[in-house]
Amino acid sequence: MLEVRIEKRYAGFHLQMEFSAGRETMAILGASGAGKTMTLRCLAGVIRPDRGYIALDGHVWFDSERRVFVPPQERGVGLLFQNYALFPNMTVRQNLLCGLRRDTPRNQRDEAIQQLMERFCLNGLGDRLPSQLSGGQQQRVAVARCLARKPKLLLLDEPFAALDVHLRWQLEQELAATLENYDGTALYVTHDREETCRLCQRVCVVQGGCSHPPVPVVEWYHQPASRCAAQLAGFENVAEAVCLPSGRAHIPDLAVDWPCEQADVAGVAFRLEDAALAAQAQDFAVLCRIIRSTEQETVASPVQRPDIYVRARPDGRIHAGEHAYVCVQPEKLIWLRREVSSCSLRQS
Amino acid sequence: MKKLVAVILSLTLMLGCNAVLAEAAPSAAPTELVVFAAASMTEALTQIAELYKTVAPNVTLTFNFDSSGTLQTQIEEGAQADIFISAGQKQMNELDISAGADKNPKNQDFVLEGTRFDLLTNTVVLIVPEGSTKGITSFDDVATDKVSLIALGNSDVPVGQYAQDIFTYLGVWDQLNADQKITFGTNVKEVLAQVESAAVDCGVVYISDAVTGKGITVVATAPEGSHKPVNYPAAVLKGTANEQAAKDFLTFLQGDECAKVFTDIGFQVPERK
Amino acid sequence: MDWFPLLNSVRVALISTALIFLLGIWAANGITRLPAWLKGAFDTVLTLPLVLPPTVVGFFLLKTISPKTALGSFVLNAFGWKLTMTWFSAIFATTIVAFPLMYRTARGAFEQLSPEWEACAETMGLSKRFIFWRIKLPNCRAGLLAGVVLSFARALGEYGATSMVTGYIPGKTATVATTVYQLWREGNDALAYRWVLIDLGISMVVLIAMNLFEKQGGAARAGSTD
Repeated sequence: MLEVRIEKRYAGFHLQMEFSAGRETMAILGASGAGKTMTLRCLAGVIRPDRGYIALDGHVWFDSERRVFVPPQERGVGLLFQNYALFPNMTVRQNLLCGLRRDTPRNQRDEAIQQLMERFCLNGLGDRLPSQLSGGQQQRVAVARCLARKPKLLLLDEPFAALDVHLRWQLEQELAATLENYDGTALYVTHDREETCRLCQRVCVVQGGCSHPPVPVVEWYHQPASRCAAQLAGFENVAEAVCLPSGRAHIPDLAVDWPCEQADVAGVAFRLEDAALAAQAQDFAVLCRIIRSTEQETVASPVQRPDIYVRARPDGRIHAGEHAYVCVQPEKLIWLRREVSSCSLRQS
Repeated sequence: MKKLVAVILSLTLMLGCNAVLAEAAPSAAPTELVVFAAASMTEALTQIAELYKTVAPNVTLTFNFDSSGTLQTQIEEGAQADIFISAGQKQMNELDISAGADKNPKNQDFVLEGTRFDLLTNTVVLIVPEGSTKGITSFDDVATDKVSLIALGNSDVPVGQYAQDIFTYLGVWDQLNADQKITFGTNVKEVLAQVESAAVDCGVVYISDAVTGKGITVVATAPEGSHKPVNYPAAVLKGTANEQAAKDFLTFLQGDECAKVFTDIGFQVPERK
Repeated sequence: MDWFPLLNSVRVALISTALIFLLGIWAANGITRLPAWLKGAFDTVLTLPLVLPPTVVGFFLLKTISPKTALGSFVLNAFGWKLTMTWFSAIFATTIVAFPLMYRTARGAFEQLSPEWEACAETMGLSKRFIFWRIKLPNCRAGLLAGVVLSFARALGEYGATSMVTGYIPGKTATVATTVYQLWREGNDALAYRWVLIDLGISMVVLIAMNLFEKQGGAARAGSTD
């Protein structure tokens, strides 16, 4: 069980992360610059947080109150960067050797390297330099090196961000297989929701340096808790909402009031494919002027809010300039609660 | 852009006017005299400059102190100077057309006729750092084991030439060179500094330097006849813009006030005609 | 012809370059670990000799190692060594004057390294020493070599501080630079010209070597993965 509670101020940015993870692959999902990489570095021990607590399976790595700090060399963490960080002056074999535990007996080293190379299909590449490898081969070497000392915590920093799309899928399969066999906690930093859905069991959304409580991926994808989570989950329409006493909620961006039984509502979200065009008004509808109609979607603007875009299902019958109601299927409409993040928790 | 051009033009005009005024005015107008003098005259001439302020307050004296050889080269290369005072006849001869072709092989003509005379004489002495325990008491000791390093001026420095004369006279010059005991300085003040800091065991300088130097002790005077007399010739240079002011200053140098300053420091003043 | 000045200059330059290399990479690496405010101050002090006139450096040196100073007299009494007026006195002067060149070049080379290498290496349990000598240095090779060549050239051509600290003893402390000066003062233009040409030749060789190393460095960077 990984427990993390850290705070760090740097370059005008305030990082406040709080989450825990078991033996699973958990996504750290957020936009660029949200503080994801800094979190990984703090977990690895390469950077020291200002305040907080980090522990894995009871081993305390960082405790600012008791002045405990375990250096990165002793944490046993596997770190995989976007650009692999393979040492350019060393061969593949030498790079892998670096990844082995310091206390591995000499006679076992060669065998360990051999096993790694077989497992990751690197046979025959032992004497090549990283510059002589293809992108896929480099990634495999980086993953192999990362896992060489059987770390208890695996930190992956957007491992596919630098790859071409066609290569990505293939390597993703390989990584998925590796993660399935991995007996430990893996944190997967990304800004891509597809990867999150395919590779991870739970997701921790990060926004502006603050973490939201981790939730299972399925829950996040279908029932996001906050506006930020909804945007990251790919909801094309996300807006603020305010509860009204009469069992309705007012959505300023759409200039409508929709029925809402839940209290404590802060926003509303619905997907493009769950919004259709209709001639008649319904329960969850908003009158819009069609801006653009393509094969993928219809882009419209609420008549009373011409500055807002609403995205709905493609509909060839209605053309730009015409008016129609954009209606959302009631069961697909998601009411979002107030943003609950580690930052706001602290303030309360 | 136009403003810049205007400023530059007016500045140039002002400078030009100044130059013209300076040339045309009698010596009552503010005058600057540039005096190139041997390094050994630093203290003496600095004191005399103070005195001269009361005598001719409109005259500003600017000194360039260095080895006579360096100054001679600078004059040959076109340096603007009104007066030259050398620590040796050689350097002045090479600039004086009236010295004859054998002493002035390049036939250079920088000295204003009729203004050259011998201003001072000096004595060459051997000095050691204050508190030296090496027991050096004479020029002969330099050739022994008592001395591992001696500082001399190089052959371009008059006191360096005199030192060479002295050691040749004593028959030890070649030996000193063979033993690599000599470090050659570029002027007499450098030699003095090296002895003061005990970087060398001893050095050869003028008595005038020894008297003004701190942290050094004079242990011996050059043996009689071991070197050519140390004469300091002075002259006004051709191409001076202040001929009268320069001549006036040289006359002042030959007066009693200056004689006292010179002798206090250790120079000898010859009989004036 | 007396070749001592050349041999002495080269000897002094080689020794001080070796010293400068070690000091330079140590300083360049160490400075990254200092807090920001201290970093700036140290950087200024370490770069100072680059901007100071060599005579200023020579003056400070004399006031520090002359036989009558605290340090100079201590060494003289304890070991019988005089720190000035010897051939190795030049090493003090050239090391100080040329140090900033190596330091700045090394620092620039280190800063261009990807910080992820160090992070990965640390998590893999590699010691700081291993990371420095086996990962950082080898990947800066071209830049460091350029720094070495630059420092060597500067040390070889040093005059101002050297002449103040070593004096001029033919056959013992004379360097190419001080010899040329003395020959000029003595009016021996013919020999002075000869030395000038020799020095020009060496300088050109050094500069060509430096250009070669820089090209290699550029090629290496272009070929490496990033």
